[in-house]
Amino acid sequence: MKHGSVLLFVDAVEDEDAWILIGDARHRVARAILPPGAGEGAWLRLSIDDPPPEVRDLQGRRAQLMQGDPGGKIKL
Amino acid sequence: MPKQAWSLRILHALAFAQVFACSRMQLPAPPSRPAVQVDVISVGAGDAILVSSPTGKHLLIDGGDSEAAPAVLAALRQRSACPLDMILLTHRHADHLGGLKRVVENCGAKLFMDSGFAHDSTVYAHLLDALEKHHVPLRQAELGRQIELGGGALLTLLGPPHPFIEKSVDIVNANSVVSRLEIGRTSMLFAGDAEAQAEKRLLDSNTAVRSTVLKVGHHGSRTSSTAEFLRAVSPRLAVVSNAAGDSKHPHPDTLVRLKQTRVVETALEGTIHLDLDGETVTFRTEQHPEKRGP
Repeated sequence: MKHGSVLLFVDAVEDEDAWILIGDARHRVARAILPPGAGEGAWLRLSIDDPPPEVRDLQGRRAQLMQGDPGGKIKL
Repeated sequence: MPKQAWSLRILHALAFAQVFACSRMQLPAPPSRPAVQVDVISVGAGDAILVSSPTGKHLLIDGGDSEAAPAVLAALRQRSACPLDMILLTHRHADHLGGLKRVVENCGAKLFMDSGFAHDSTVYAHLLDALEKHHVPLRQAELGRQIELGGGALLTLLGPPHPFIEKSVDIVNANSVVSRLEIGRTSMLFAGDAEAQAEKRLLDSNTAVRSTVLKVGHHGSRTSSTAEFLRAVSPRLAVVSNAAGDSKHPHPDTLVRLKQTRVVETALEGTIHLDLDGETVTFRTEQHPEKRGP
């Protein structure tokens, strides 16, 4: 799945926060979201990606668990 | 005084004491109606609400984020609520579901319910792992479905909207499960993270939302709890589940709209315990443990 992407610049890193520039606009994000090795001055490309394998077919797994739901009022 | 008169006085005194003792014993006990207990657990940013029925059934609505799990589990054990009779997930944001995996693993649950509105995160995947591993059956949360909790307590699902809301900036919140608990003449509306669009759907469909207590939608955000919605609900007490130091939850605009209503926040009060006994609502909090009315 290919989508558009956004180019980001890591402007500053302070404690647990990172400041990134998208164009001229400065945004604060958690430092934890930076990829390993990305420090001040790094350029990052943010893009939409395919979901990881562990979340594929969650609706199918949910439907399996829901088998036997008779519908209607539930009495606990 | 003659000896006979003294004897009479003593007899009278004894008779009076006996009558007094009997009358004390026969004083009627204060009326104690079976109540639904609702614990709005202090979990910081997120929701986790335990509903305990007069017959000892326990329903957990949401489970806070993953860091909230110890607090949620402690609250469940305090009520001897394990295993839970049901978990109801209002929507799949991590601040509502993150703690549920550990709840399923460490407390147990007989049923799990959520809506089919997809939001496929790893957090939800891990919850499904736990449900599968512990063989917890899943039930579909859908508009109008009812859950009998016993002792006359009934929870009715007023959401998710049907059909789902498809256009919204925050589409997961927009499709939250909203539910209304009723026992006798007292009631509590759990708004999940529903926002203005979902509230309007409820009002447009003439859904009965009037409730004694409101669990304020989306932690009191500015985009929830419209004036029209609050007018329709007309709560006597509004409960906000929020984190300390968060100036937007509740938002000052929301508090202005709630100015006629007593508001209690978990961020200020800690866990909030409510009793709904069919006639009256009382509440106490971690910070103020004496029982109060709204």
